[in-house]
Amino acid sequence: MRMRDRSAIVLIIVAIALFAINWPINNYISNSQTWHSRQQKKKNASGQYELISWRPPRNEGETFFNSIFRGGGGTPAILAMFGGQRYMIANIMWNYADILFHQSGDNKEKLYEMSSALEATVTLNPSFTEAWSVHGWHLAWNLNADTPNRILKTKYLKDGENVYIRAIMANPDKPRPYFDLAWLYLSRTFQYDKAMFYLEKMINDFEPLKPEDKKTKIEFNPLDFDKKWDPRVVGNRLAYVYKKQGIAERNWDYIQRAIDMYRKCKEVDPTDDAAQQNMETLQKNLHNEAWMDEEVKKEEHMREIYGVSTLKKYLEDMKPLGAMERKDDGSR
Amino acid sequence: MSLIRPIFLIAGNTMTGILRGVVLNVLLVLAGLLIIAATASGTFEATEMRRMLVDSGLAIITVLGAMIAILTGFTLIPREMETRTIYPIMSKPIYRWQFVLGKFFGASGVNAITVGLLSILFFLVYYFKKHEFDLRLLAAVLMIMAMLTVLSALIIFLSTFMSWIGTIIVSAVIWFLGNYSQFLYDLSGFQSQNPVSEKMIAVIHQILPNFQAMDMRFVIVQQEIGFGEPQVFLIPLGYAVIFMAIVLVLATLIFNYREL
Repeated sequence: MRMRDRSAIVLIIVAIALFAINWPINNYISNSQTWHSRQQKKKNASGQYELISWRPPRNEGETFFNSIFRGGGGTPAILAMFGGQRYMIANIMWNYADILFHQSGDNKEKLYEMSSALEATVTLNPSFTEAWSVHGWHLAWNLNADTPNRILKTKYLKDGENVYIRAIMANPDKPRPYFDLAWLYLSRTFQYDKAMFYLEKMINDFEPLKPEDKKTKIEFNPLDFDKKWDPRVVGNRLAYVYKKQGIAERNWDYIQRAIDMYRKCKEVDPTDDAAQQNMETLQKNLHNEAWMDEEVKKEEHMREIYGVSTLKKYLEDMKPLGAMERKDDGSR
Repeated sequence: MSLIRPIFLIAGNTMTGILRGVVLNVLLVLAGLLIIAATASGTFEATEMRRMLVDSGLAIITVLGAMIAILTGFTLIPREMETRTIYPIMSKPIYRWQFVLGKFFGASGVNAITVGLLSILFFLVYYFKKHEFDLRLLAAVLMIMAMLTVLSALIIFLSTFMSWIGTIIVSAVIWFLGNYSQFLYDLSGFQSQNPVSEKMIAVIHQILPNFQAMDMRFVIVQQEIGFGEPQVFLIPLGYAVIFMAIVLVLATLIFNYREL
């Protein structure tokens, strides 16, 4: 064998050996959440990929490709993917959405264009929780309120809900999308049971912000808001949800839970006067049937104004909270 | 004659040749202007400023750096053969692997100068805008350097058996796909219903360089990760070094059999 052939064999063996070393390293990087793959990918017993052991309900047939091409976000998404610059294009689209929002005062059409820019942003950078938050808010609040068409109103509300569900699927490790979805259920669809489920899940699964997380004397590090939840805000919101659910069900246990939660808020932040005031009101009216009658009337009136299901229908449709948990086999 | 000395002699000559060329200087000026124009824009809100500053600055260094690596690297071996300047070199006691490595280190040196100059400009703009300096940006720039070095190794590899036009096209395609393969891999794992296509994408993902793994913008902008977690920077760096070694071994293998 010639010298050249011998060295060729050695080089081939070296190349294969190096490739064998690099294969698992690349797999590790590719499947790690630290770098780019935000989804927790693992296969279940039937060989299908599961994002996480629990996930929220989603529309059947919805794929990631749908979301790329939905709402006109496709072109920038594809261009950016090939250029390897999707994060930068996402930021440009994010700023463009802001420009469109400010232009919408003079030109209402810009408000509708904005959803395309936001769709492109979250498609290109699915870990951009602020963009998900604004996207859902824009659909479920702005467009839902702006359009006079009843069918479109329902569509935009549903779209907003789906955006938040997709946000959770893309960022199962961050609390913010759970809060956003709960906020939508609380203030747009008046489904207090669902709002309670997501807020409680968020509180149970994620760490709260602590005073030592403060970057300065008054401000928390903004990046911490991505990883932790603020007990001052979330506690008050959950207490309010307990109160509303208690009124809807005429259940004093929930009112008691609301009082307890307001008390915790007050312990976390002694300057929280709103929590103090709400706690005192509820304590004063605990087991006061006349107060409950009045609150139920207010609730029914509010549901009529916002055009959501009646209290009776809501209670009929309400599923046990555990029913939203997805089982291991994918069924619910 | 030592084994190392010829490599650095060839590398030095290669660098001098490229630095004298017009292409590099024109692209460098263009990149500098782009960095100033993109990062010095004051139209963004304060909260968005850092995100855009880091993103656009590093993106310009990456893209223009890749362009410079391709446009200055594709001629390195084919031109030596076309102009027959390779013959006097090969008539000396120089191994072919030394020639390949010399060309690679020359191209990497040019990358280092390019990235270094653009980074200094970017750091200055960042400092004037934010009145602070984030050390992690330095790590991000080093990772860009690693990306471009992998790209240069690929260009050297391709130019050992391809014409110059083929080298430009294929290296540009590999650059784009290398930036895209992670995204494709994520999608295949997330949505694919077809195990064959899923496997194919997984194999392609392994063969192509995973440039996205070396792109630290995501880590710096989206996550509060610092030098306390060195594995975030060191693992992709290790991956880049091994990938580079594989490509250079293959380049040497092919160049050994090339009829001059």
